[in-house]
Amino acid sequence: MSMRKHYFKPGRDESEANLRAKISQALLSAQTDIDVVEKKVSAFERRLEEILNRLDDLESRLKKLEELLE
Amino acid sequence: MVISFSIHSYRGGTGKSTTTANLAVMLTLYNKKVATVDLDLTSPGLHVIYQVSQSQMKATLNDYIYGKAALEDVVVDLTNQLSLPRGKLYFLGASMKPEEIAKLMREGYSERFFREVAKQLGEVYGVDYVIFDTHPGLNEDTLLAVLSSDVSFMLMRMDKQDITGTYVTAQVLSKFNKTSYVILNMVPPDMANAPELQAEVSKLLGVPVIGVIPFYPEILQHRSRGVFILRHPKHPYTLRIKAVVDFIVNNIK
Ligand SMILES: Nc1ncnc2c1ncn2[C@@H]1O[C@H](COP(=O)(O)OP(=O)(O)OP(=O)(O)O)[C@@H](O)[C@H]1O
Ligand SMILES: [Mg+2]
Repeated sequence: MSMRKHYFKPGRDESEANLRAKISQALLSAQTDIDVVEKKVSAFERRLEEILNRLDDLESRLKKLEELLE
Repeated sequence: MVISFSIHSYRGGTGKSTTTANLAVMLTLYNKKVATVDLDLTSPGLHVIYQVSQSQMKATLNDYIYGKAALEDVVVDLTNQLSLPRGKLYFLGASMKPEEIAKLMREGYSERFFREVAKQLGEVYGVDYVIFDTHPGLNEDTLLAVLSSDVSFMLMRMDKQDITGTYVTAQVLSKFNKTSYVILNMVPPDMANAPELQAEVSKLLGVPVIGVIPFYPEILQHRSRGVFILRHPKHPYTLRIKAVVDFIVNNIK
Protein backbone atom coordinates (compact mmCIF):
# COMPACT_ATOMS: atom_id res chain seq x y z
CA MET A 1 0.00 0.00 0.00
CA SER A 2 1.38 3.41 -0.89
CA MET A 3 2.10 5.91 1.89
CA ARG A 4 0.14 8.73 0.36
CA LYS A 5 -3.53 8.55 1.21
CA HIS A 6 -6.23 8.67 -1.45
CA TYR A 7 -8.71 11.50 -1.63
CA PHE A 8 -11.63 12.26 -3.89
CA LYS A 9 -11.70 15.69 -5.49
CA PRO A 10 -15.31 16.85 -5.44
CA GLY A 11 -16.76 18.29 -8.60
CA ARG A 12 -18.66 17.18 -11.62
CA ASP A 13 -17.63 16.34 -15.13
CA GLU A 14 -19.27 18.02 -18.07
CA SER A 15 -20.50 14.62 -19.17
CA GLU A 16 -22.56 14.32 -15.99
CA ALA A 17 -25.02 17.08 -16.88
CA ASN A 18 -25.50 15.21 -20.11
CA LEU A 19 -26.16 11.90 -18.37
CA ARG A 20 -28.54 13.50 -15.88
CA ALA A 21 -30.48 15.11 -18.73
CA LYS A 22 -30.74 11.73 -20.45
CA ILE A 23 -31.95 10.11 -17.23
CA SER A 24 -34.68 12.74 -16.76
CA GLN A 25 -35.74 12.24 -20.34
CA ALA A 26 -35.87 8.45 -19.94
CA LEU A 27 -37.86 8.79 -16.71
CA LEU A 28 -40.36 11.10 -18.36
CA SER A 29 -41.00 8.85 -21.31
CA ALA A 30 -41.30 5.82 -19.02
CA GLN A 31 -44.20 7.49 -17.20
CA THR A 32 -46.24 8.00 -20.35
CA ASP A 33 -47.00 4.39 -21.22
CA ILE A 34 -47.99 3.23 -17.75
CA ASP A 35 -51.29 1.76 -19.03
CA VAL A 36 -49.42 -0.54 -21.37
CA VAL A 37 -47.16 -1.60 -18.51
CA GLU A 38 -50.09 -2.43 -16.26
CA LYS A 39 -51.67 -4.58 -18.93
CA LYS A 40 -48.45 -6.49 -19.46
CA VAL A 41 -47.96 -7.08 -15.74
CA SER A 42 -51.56 -8.24 -15.32
CA ALA A 43 -51.17 -10.70 -18.18
CA PHE A 44 -47.97 -11.95 -16.55
CA GLU A 45 -49.76 -12.41 -13.23
CA ARG A 46 -52.49 -14.45 -14.86
CA ARG A 47 -49.89 -16.69 -16.51
CA LEU A 48 -48.13 -17.15 -13.20
CA GLU A 49 -51.43 -18.03 -11.56
CA GLU A 50 -52.05 -20.69 -14.20
CA ILE A 51 -48.61 -22.15 -13.67
CA LEU A 52 -49.15 -22.33 -9.94
CA ASN A 53 -52.55 -23.94 -10.38
CA ARG A 54 -51.06 -26.52 -12.69
CA LEU A 55 -48.36 -27.18 -10.11
CA ASP A 56 -50.97 -27.56 -7.35
CA ASP A 57 -52.92 -29.89 -9.58
CA LEU A 58 -49.84 -31.96 -10.31
CA GLU A 59 -48.99 -32.15 -6.63
CA SER A 60 -52.45 -33.31 -5.60
CA ARG A 61 -52.48 -35.87 -8.41
CA LEU A 62 -49.09 -37.15 -7.31
CA LYS A 63 -50.34 -37.39 -3.75
CA LYS A 64 -53.40 -39.38 -4.85
CA LEU A 65 -51.18 -41.66 -6.86
CA GLU A 66 -48.93 -42.24 -3.85
CA GLU A 67 -51.96 -43.04 -1.72
CA LEU A 68 -53.18 -45.53 -4.30
CA LEU A 69 -49.80 -47.23 -4.40
CA GLU A 70 -49.51 -47.54 -0.65
CA MET B 1 -9.63 -4.87 -13.02
CA VAL B 2 -12.33 -3.82 -10.60
CA ILE B 3 -15.93 -4.69 -11.47
CA SER B 4 -18.59 -2.59 -9.81
CA PHE B 5 -22.16 -3.71 -9.13
CA SER B 6 -25.16 -1.78 -7.96
CA ILE B 7 -27.83 -3.60 -6.02
CA HIS B 8 -31.05 -1.80 -6.54
CA SER B 9 -34.76 -2.33 -6.12
CA TYR B 10 -37.88 -0.40 -6.93
CA ARG B 11 -39.44 -0.90 -3.52
CA GLY B 12 -37.77 -0.67 -0.14
CA GLY B 13 -37.26 -3.70 2.05
CA THR B 14 -36.73 -6.15 -0.80
CA GLY B 15 -33.54 -7.46 0.80
CA LYS B 16 -30.84 -5.31 -0.84
CA SER B 17 -28.61 -5.03 2.22
CA THR B 18 -29.09 -8.67 3.21
CA THR B 19 -28.28 -9.82 -0.32
CA THR B 20 -25.31 -7.45 -0.63
CA ALA B 21 -23.73 -8.75 2.58
CA ASN B 22 -24.33 -12.42 1.83
CA LEU B 23 -23.16 -12.18 -1.79
CA ALA B 24 -20.06 -10.29 -0.68
CA VAL B 25 -19.17 -12.89 1.95
CA MET B 26 -19.77 -15.71 -0.53
CA LEU B 27 -17.44 -13.98 -3.00
CA THR B 28 -14.69 -13.89 -0.35
CA LEU B 29 -15.08 -17.64 0.03
CA TYR B 30 -14.10 -17.78 -3.64
CA ASN B 31 -10.95 -15.96 -2.56
CA LYS B 32 -12.14 -12.62 -3.94
CA LYS B 33 -11.52 -9.19 -2.48
CA VAL B 34 -14.80 -7.34 -2.13
CA ALA B 35 -15.75 -3.85 -0.99
CA THR B 36 -19.34 -3.07 -0.05
CA VAL B 37 -20.54 0.51 -0.02
CA ASP B 38 -23.68 1.64 1.81
CA LEU B 39 -25.33 4.25 -0.37
CA ASP B 40 -28.76 3.88 1.15
CA LEU B 41 -28.54 7.14 3.04
CA THR B 42 -31.97 7.24 4.60
CA SER B 43 -32.06 3.64 5.78
CA PRO B 44 -28.53 2.30 5.92
CA GLY B 45 -28.53 -1.37 6.78
CA LEU B 46 -25.17 -2.91 5.99
CA HIS B 47 -23.41 -1.86 9.18
CA VAL B 48 -26.18 -3.52 11.19
CA ILE B 49 -25.76 -6.81 9.36
CA TYR B 50 -21.97 -6.63 9.67
CA GLN B 51 -22.25 -5.47 13.29
CA VAL B 52 -19.91 -2.55 12.69
CA SER B 53 -19.98 0.09 15.40
CA GLN B 54 -19.70 3.78 14.60
CA SER B 55 -16.41 3.91 16.51
CA GLN B 56 -14.80 1.57 13.97
CA MET B 57 -15.35 4.15 11.26
CA LYS B 58 -12.66 6.83 11.38
CA ALA B 59 -14.50 8.80 8.73
CA THR B 60 -17.66 8.39 6.68
CA LEU B 61 -18.35 8.13 2.98
CA ASN B 62 -19.83 11.63 3.19
CA ASP B 63 -16.44 13.02 4.31
CA TYR B 64 -14.77 11.23 1.41
CA ILE B 65 -17.32 12.56 -1.08
CA TYR B 66 -16.63 16.12 0.05
CA GLY B 67 -12.87 15.59 -0.17
CA LYS B 68 -12.50 15.92 3.60
CA ALA B 69 -11.36 12.38 4.41
CA ALA B 70 -9.11 9.87 2.71
CA LEU B 71 -10.41 6.56 1.45
CA GLU B 72 -8.10 4.80 3.91
CA ASP B 73 -9.96 6.44 6.82
CA VAL B 74 -13.38 5.36 5.55
CA VAL B 75 -12.66 1.74 4.72
CA VAL B 76 -13.27 -0.79 7.50
CA ASP B 77 -11.63 -4.18 7.00
CA LEU B 78 -14.04 -6.85 8.21
CA THR B 79 -12.03 -9.89 7.16
CA ASN B 80 -10.81 -10.76 10.65
CA GLN B 81 -13.84 -9.52 12.52
CA LEU B 82 -16.05 -11.93 10.56
CA SER B 83 -13.38 -14.67 10.69
CA LEU B 84 -13.38 -15.04 6.93
CA PRO B 85 -11.01 -17.84 5.97
CA ARG B 86 -10.04 -16.35 2.58
CA GLY B 87 -10.42 -13.26 0.46
CA LYS B 88 -11.04 -9.81 1.88
CA LEU B 89 -14.19 -7.95 2.86
CA TYR B 90 -14.32 -4.17 3.23
CA PHE B 91 -17.11 -1.86 4.29
CA LEU B 92 -17.64 1.82 3.53
CA GLY B 93 -20.39 3.41 5.58
CA ALA B 94 -22.27 6.66 5.25
CA SER B 95 -22.87 9.21 7.97
CA MET B 96 -25.78 8.74 10.35
CA LYS B 97 -26.04 12.45 11.15
CA PRO B 98 -29.34 13.81 9.84
CA GLU B 99 -27.83 17.11 8.64
CA GLU B 100 -25.09 15.30 6.69
CA ILE B 101 -27.59 12.88 5.18
CA ALA B 102 -29.81 15.78 4.17
CA LYS B 103 -26.91 17.67 2.59
CA LEU B 104 -25.87 14.72 0.44
CA MET B 105 -29.49 13.96 -0.52
CA ARG B 106 -29.93 17.58 -1.56
CA GLU B 107 -26.72 17.84 -3.53
CA GLY B 108 -26.70 14.34 -4.95
CA TYR B 109 -23.79 12.13 -5.86
CA SER B 110 -21.58 12.88 -8.77
CA GLU B 111 -21.08 10.32 -11.47
CA ARG B 112 -17.33 10.68 -10.97
CA PHE B 113 -17.60 9.50 -7.38
CA PHE B 114 -18.66 6.00 -8.41
CA ARG B 115 -15.86 5.62 -10.91
CA GLU B 116 -13.22 7.16 -8.62
CA VAL B 117 -14.07 5.20 -5.50
CA ALA B 118 -14.04 1.92 -7.44
CA LYS B 119 -10.74 2.81 -9.07
CA GLN B 120 -9.10 3.78 -5.78
CA LEU B 121 -10.41 0.66 -4.04
CA GLY B 122 -8.73 -1.30 -6.79
CA GLU B 123 -5.46 0.59 -6.47
CA VAL B 124 -5.19 0.65 -2.71
CA TYR B 125 -6.84 -2.61 -1.66
CA GLY B 126 -6.67 -4.65 -4.84
CA VAL B 127 -10.40 -5.34 -4.73
CA ASP B 128 -11.98 -7.48 -7.44
CA TYR B 129 -15.55 -6.29 -6.83
CA VAL B 130 -17.23 -3.19 -5.46
CA ILE B 131 -20.89 -3.56 -4.52
CA PHE B 132 -23.03 -0.45 -4.04
CA ASP B 133 -26.07 -1.04 -1.83
CA THR B 134 -28.36 1.68 -3.19
CA HIS B 135 -31.41 3.58 -2.13
CA PRO B 136 -34.66 2.08 -3.49
CA GLY B 137 -36.88 3.78 -6.03
CA LEU B 138 -36.80 5.12 -9.52
CA ASN B 139 -35.30 8.58 -9.39
CA GLU B 140 -32.47 10.49 -10.95
CA ASP B 141 -29.93 9.94 -8.20
CA THR B 142 -30.43 6.21 -7.80
CA LEU B 143 -30.33 5.79 -11.55
CA LEU B 144 -27.07 7.72 -11.60
CA ALA B 145 -25.67 5.17 -9.13
CA VAL B 146 -26.99 2.29 -11.20
CA LEU B 147 -25.73 3.71 -14.48
CA SER B 148 -22.33 4.60 -13.04
CA SER B 149 -21.56 1.03 -12.03
CA ASP B 150 -20.54 -1.66 -14.50
CA VAL B 151 -23.38 -4.07 -13.85
CA SER B 152 -26.80 -3.59 -12.29
CA PHE B 153 -28.56 -6.16 -10.14
CA MET B 154 -32.22 -5.49 -9.63
CA LEU B 155 -33.78 -7.21 -6.68
CA MET B 156 -37.47 -7.92 -7.02
CA ARG B 157 -40.23 -9.33 -4.88
CA MET B 158 -43.10 -11.10 -6.55
CA ASP B 159 -45.75 -8.51 -5.77
CA LYS B 160 -47.56 -6.43 -8.34
CA GLN B 161 -46.15 -3.08 -7.29
CA ASP B 162 -42.59 -4.31 -7.36
CA ILE B 163 -43.03 -6.18 -10.64
CA THR B 164 -44.48 -3.06 -12.25
CA GLY B 165 -41.74 -0.80 -10.88
CA THR B 166 -39.00 -3.21 -11.90
CA TYR B 167 -40.49 -3.48 -15.37
CA VAL B 168 -40.35 0.29 -15.77
CA THR B 169 -36.81 0.40 -14.34
CA ALA B 170 -35.72 -2.27 -16.81
CA GLN B 171 -37.25 -0.25 -19.66
CA VAL B 172 -35.34 2.83 -18.58
CA LEU B 173 -32.06 0.94 -18.18
CA SER B 174 -32.43 -0.64 -21.61
CA LYS B 175 -32.27 2.85 -23.12
CA PHE B 176 -28.75 3.09 -21.71
CA ASN B 177 -27.65 -0.38 -22.84
CA LYS B 178 -26.92 -1.21 -19.22
CA THR B 179 -25.88 -4.77 -18.40
CA SER B 180 -28.57 -5.75 -15.92
CA TYR B 181 -29.65 -8.88 -14.11
CA VAL B 182 -32.61 -9.62 -11.89
CA ILE B 183 -32.55 -11.55 -8.64
CA LEU B 184 -35.91 -12.55 -7.23
CA ASN B 185 -35.97 -12.42 -3.45
CA MET B 186 -38.51 -13.44 -0.81
CA VAL B 187 -40.31 -15.56 -3.38
CA PRO B 188 -43.22 -17.53 -1.88
CA PRO B 189 -41.91 -21.13 -1.60
CA ASP B 190 -44.57 -22.69 -3.86
CA MET B 191 -43.79 -20.16 -6.56
CA ALA B 192 -40.04 -20.67 -6.17
CA ASN B 193 -40.59 -24.33 -7.03
CA ALA B 194 -42.21 -23.55 -10.37
CA PRO B 195 -39.61 -24.42 -12.99
CA GLU B 196 -40.99 -21.83 -15.44
CA LEU B 197 -40.71 -18.90 -13.04
CA GLN B 198 -37.23 -17.79 -14.02
CA ALA B 199 -37.94 -17.87 -17.75
CA GLU B 200 -41.32 -16.15 -17.39
CA VAL B 201 -39.91 -13.24 -15.40
CA SER B 202 -36.93 -12.92 -17.76
CA LYS B 203 -39.34 -12.76 -20.68
CA LEU B 204 -41.54 -10.12 -19.07
CA LEU B 205 -38.67 -7.86 -18.04
CA GLY B 206 -36.35 -8.53 -20.96
CA VAL B 207 -33.59 -9.03 -18.39
CA PRO B 208 -32.03 -12.37 -17.37
CA VAL B 209 -33.05 -13.66 -13.96
CA ILE B 210 -29.92 -15.08 -12.32
CA GLY B 211 -31.30 -16.04 -8.94
CA VAL B 212 -34.52 -17.16 -7.31
CA ILE B 213 -34.32 -16.82 -3.55
CA PRO B 214 -37.32 -18.02 -1.56
CA PHE B 215 -38.68 -16.40 1.56
CA TYR B 216 -37.15 -18.10 4.60
CA PRO B 217 -38.57 -17.12 7.99
CA GLU B 218 -35.18 -17.94 9.57
CA ILE B 219 -33.62 -15.02 7.72
CA LEU B 220 -36.16 -12.60 9.03
CA GLN B 221 -35.62 -13.95 12.55
CA HIS B 222 -31.85 -13.79 12.11
CA ARG B 223 -32.10 -10.06 11.46
CA SER B 224 -29.17 -8.01 12.70
CA ARG B 225 -27.28 -10.98 14.01
CA GLY B 226 -24.50 -11.17 11.51
CA VAL B 227 -24.21 -12.48 7.99
CA PHE B 228 -26.63 -15.39 7.60
CA ILE B 229 -24.57 -17.68 5.35
CA LEU B 230 -21.67 -17.63 7.82
CA ARG B 231 -23.90 -18.99 10.56
CA HIS B 232 -25.78 -21.40 8.32
CA PRO B 233 -23.41 -22.75 5.68
CA LYS B 234 -25.71 -25.69 4.82
CA HIS B 235 -28.99 -23.75 4.66
CA PRO B 236 -30.80 -23.72 1.28
CA TYR B 237 -30.47 -19.91 1.32
CA THR B 238 -26.69 -20.32 1.28
CA LEU B 239 -26.96 -22.58 -1.77
CA ARG B 240 -29.10 -20.02 -3.58
CA ILE B 241 -26.55 -17.30 -2.82
CA LYS B 242 -23.79 -19.60 -4.03
CA ALA B 243 -25.62 -20.13 -7.34
CA VAL B 244 -25.70 -16.36 -7.92
CA VAL B 245 -22.00 -16.06 -7.05
CA ASP B 246 -21.18 -18.92 -9.42
CA PHE B 247 -22.91 -16.95 -12.14
CA ILE B 248 -21.02 -13.76 -11.26
CA VAL B 249 -17.62 -15.41 -11.15
CA ASN B 250 -18.13 -17.32 -14.39
CA ASN B 251 -20.01 -14.81 -16.51
CA ILE B 252 -19.22 -11.28 -15.43
CA LYS B 253 -15.71 -10.35 -16.45
N1 LIG C 1 -35.00 -14.31 1.39
C1 LIG C 1 -35.45 -13.75 2.51
N2 LIG C 1 -36.33 -14.44 3.30
C2 LIG C 1 -36.80 -13.89 4.44
N3 LIG C 1 -36.46 -12.69 4.90
C3 LIG C 1 -35.60 -11.95 4.17
C4 LIG C 1 -35.05 -12.44 2.94
N4 LIG C 1 -34.22 -11.48 2.45
C5 LIG C 1 -34.24 -10.45 3.31
N5 LIG C 1 -35.07 -10.71 4.37
C6 LIG C 1 -35.40 -9.86 5.52
O1 LIG C 1 -36.15 -8.76 5.04
C7 LIG C 1 -35.87 -7.58 5.78
C8 LIG C 1 -35.46 -6.47 4.83
O2 LIG C 1 -34.22 -6.79 4.25
P1 LIG C 1 -33.12 -5.70 3.95
O3 LIG C 1 -32.93 -4.77 5.08
O4 LIG C 1 -31.93 -6.42 3.44
O5 LIG C 1 -33.85 -4.94 2.76
P2 LIG C 1 -33.43 -3.62 2.01
O6 LIG C 1 -33.90 -3.76 0.62
O7 LIG C 1 -31.98 -3.36 2.22
O8 LIG C 1 -34.29 -2.55 2.77
P3 LIG C 1 -34.21 -0.95 2.65
O9 LIG C 1 -34.91 -0.62 1.37
O10 LIG C 1 -34.91 -0.47 3.86
O11 LIG C 1 -32.76 -0.62 2.61
C9 LIG C 1 -34.78 -7.97 6.77
O12 LIG C 1 -35.37 -8.21 8.02
C10 LIG C 1 -34.19 -9.25 6.20
O13 LIG C 1 -33.69 -10.08 7.21
MG1 LIG D 1 -30.95 -1.63 2.97
